[in-house]
Order: sequence, then structure tokens, then C-alpha cells
Amino acid sequence: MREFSGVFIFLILSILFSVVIGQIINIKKTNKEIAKEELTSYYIEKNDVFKKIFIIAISLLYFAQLILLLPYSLVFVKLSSYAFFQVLIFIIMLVFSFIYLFKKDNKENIE
Amino acid sequence: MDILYQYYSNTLTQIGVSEFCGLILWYIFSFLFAVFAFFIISNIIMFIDNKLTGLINLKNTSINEVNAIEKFKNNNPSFVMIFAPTLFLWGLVPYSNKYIPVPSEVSLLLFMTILCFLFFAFLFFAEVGNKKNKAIEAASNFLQVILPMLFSVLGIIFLTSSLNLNEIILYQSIIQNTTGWLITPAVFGFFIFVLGIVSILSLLEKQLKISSLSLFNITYPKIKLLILSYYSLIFMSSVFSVCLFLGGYLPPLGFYLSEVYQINYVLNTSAVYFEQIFWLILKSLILSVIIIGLKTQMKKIEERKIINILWYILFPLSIINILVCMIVPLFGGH
Repeated sequence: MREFSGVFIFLILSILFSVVIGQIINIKKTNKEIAKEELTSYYIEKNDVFKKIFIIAISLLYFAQLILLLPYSLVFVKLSSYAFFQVLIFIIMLVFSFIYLFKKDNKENIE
Repeated sequence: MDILYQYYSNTLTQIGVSEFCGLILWYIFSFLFAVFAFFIISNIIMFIDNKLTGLINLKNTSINEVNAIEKFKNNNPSFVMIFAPTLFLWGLVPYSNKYIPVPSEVSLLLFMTILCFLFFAFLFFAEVGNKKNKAIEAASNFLQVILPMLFSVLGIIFLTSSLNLNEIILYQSIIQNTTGWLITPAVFGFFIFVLGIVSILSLLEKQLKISSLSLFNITYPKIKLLILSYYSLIFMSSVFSVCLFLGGYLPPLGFYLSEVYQINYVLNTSAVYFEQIFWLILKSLILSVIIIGLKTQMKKIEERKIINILWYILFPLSIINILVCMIVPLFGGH
């Protein structure tokens, strides 16, 4: 409890400090003329958006795998070699999925 | 510092102040120390970057940038969102063996999440600054860059089986040489981590230059603070990699210089603490200079190519790194 109280107090202090400093600092007015900014509309093609979302989904899957590996890594030294081979299979699956992704991306680029 | 804290807590209990109030006072003191360190070191890093790359041109502002800042100036939440975590990061650093402003058993996780959050916040602001539909691109770029870095950190957890940064540094002190540092088994991990930082910074700067919300050409004090937080982010990422791979506050010679001549027990032990802080800052300053140098070189490469290098070369390498880190403790350990 004491440990997290420290984290909590420090976080509150840093937020308070930044809020106060943000309020104190008054932004100086510049003498330069302020021209109207031309907002350039930016459209992405639909396919491009889908590709980006696909990449986000894939990387979130890898994140999930990372989170699955995290508790195992903390007790890895205490476990036997049997557990090592089990996780090895898991990592090999990860590698194969990556190879599949790599091949698919290459094909799309060629096309 | 622990002697200092003991003395401090004893005097407080003698006066009659409760432990809770004492703790809060201690954290206020630590916070002020963190703020002081933030302002000094980020200014130093900014100076180095200015000398090496000449990117900062605080006196010249273009009209477009002024316009963007006019929009940004009343936006206090976004300022707090970036500035508060940067200050919080300074509290998580193990400056010496006994002095950590915010001691935590999961400091590695906290450090990594806040570092990632800050990288994402900067990238988001930079990419979305002018173009509204670029949020998805920012997210996908960020994820592709950050994944190899996270996998390289996982290798370190496999080796040390701890999430505490101080414990990881103490693990490296078992062998009193530079060979004890975790860069020896996890050499791939170190390079992946540093290259990941460099590439994310170069991506950031490309976007910052293009977008109207350019952080580099502005004279406003609030934006100056944001610039300082950007440079502290560079320093903090190098501190993190030093703590993980290069021994943190441990001396590179294998012994402390202050222990060579035994003068007085109290003097020598207190000198060791200051020496540890010195080594940590020196190592991270050198690494941040290297990062700044690499960043300028990286800017010549196209954005898409950088991400492809990270995604198709460094990500498989990080998986190999995990395998190496798993095998090393099985065969007698590091």
C-alpha cells in the first residue's frame, strides 16, 4: 500500500504542478500578423484506411501474445525444461504467423 | 540517501509529526529534486541537439505556426497530458542504490507504459496537427515501431525475472565488470531498443517539421516547456536503456572511485551515492548524444522505409533475442 501511495502522491504532484504552471504562464502576444490558416482537407483512400486498421489489429494481437508471455517470463527460472519447450512452441507459432504476414504483404506489393 | 531519510524520519518522529505527513513531505522534496533535474538536464540535451543538428530556431516563427499556436494556447488539458507524465518519469528513475524517489515493484512496467504513452502523445499531436484524418496512420506507425522495442524488453525480464528497475541493476552488479551488464547476453535487444528510439524520434521530427504545430520554431513559454519535455523524453529513453542494458548506476571500471581512499566511513558511503548518480547521468548523456547523432542520419531515409526496416528485420530479430535470453539461464545463466 505504501509503495503505491508513493506513486499516487507523485502523480498527483506532477499533475498539479503542470496545471498550475500552465495557468501561470501567460502566452505573450506576438506583433506578427495572423493570417487565416488554410485548412487543407486530407482524404485517405478507403483501401489505405483498411490496411492501416489491419496493421493495428495485427499489432494488437502481438501485444496480446506479449502480455501472455509476461507472467511466464517472471517465473521462467524456477520452471523445468518441459515448460521451456511448451513456450518454445508458442513462440514458433508466433514466428510462423509473422512469416505468413510477410509473404502476404510481399504479394500485395508485387500486385 | 537512506541515511539522510533515516535521519529525517527520526527527527520528524521526535517532533511529533505523523508518518503520513512525513512521507508527503519527503515526496514533495523528491518532486522538487525531479523538477530541478528535469529543467537542468533537458536544457543540456537541447543545447547538444542545437549544436549538433542546429534544428532549433527559436527566434524565427512563421505565420502558420503562430496560427496553430493560437489554437493550441488555451488547450490546457493537452499540455498537462504531456507535461505531467514527463515529470512523473523523473520520479521512477533509480538514481542510486538506495535513492529512488518513487520506489515501486513494477517500476519497469510503469516506466515503459509512460514512455510509450509520451511517444504516442507526441506522434499524435505531430501527425494530427494539421491533418485530421491522420490519426489512424499515427497509431499504426506507432504500433509498428513500438512492438520490437517491447519484445526486446521482454528478453530482459526473462533473464532477470523481475519488474523492478533497481533489482535489474542489482542483478547486473553480481559480476563486477562490464561483462556483468545485460548487454552481453541481450546484444540484439540493446540495438533494437536504441534503433527503435531513434526511428520513432526521426518519425516524430519529420512530422513536427511538416505539421503546423511545429515545436521547434516557437517562442511561447508554454511551448518552450513542451520542447523541454520532448528533450527530457530523449534523455529518459536513454536512461531506461542504460538501466536495462548498461548497468544503470554501476561504475564501468568495476569499483567506485570514492572507495579507493578510505578517509571516513560516513564520507565514503555518502560519496558512493553521489558517484552512482554521476555514472548514471554520464552514461545516459553519452547514449542520448549517440541517439541524437543517429537521429540526424535517420532523417535522410524515407518514413516508409524506416518502418519497414523495423517491422521486417528488427521484429524477427527481437523474437530471436527472446529465444537467446531464454536459453542463457538454462545453460548455467549469465
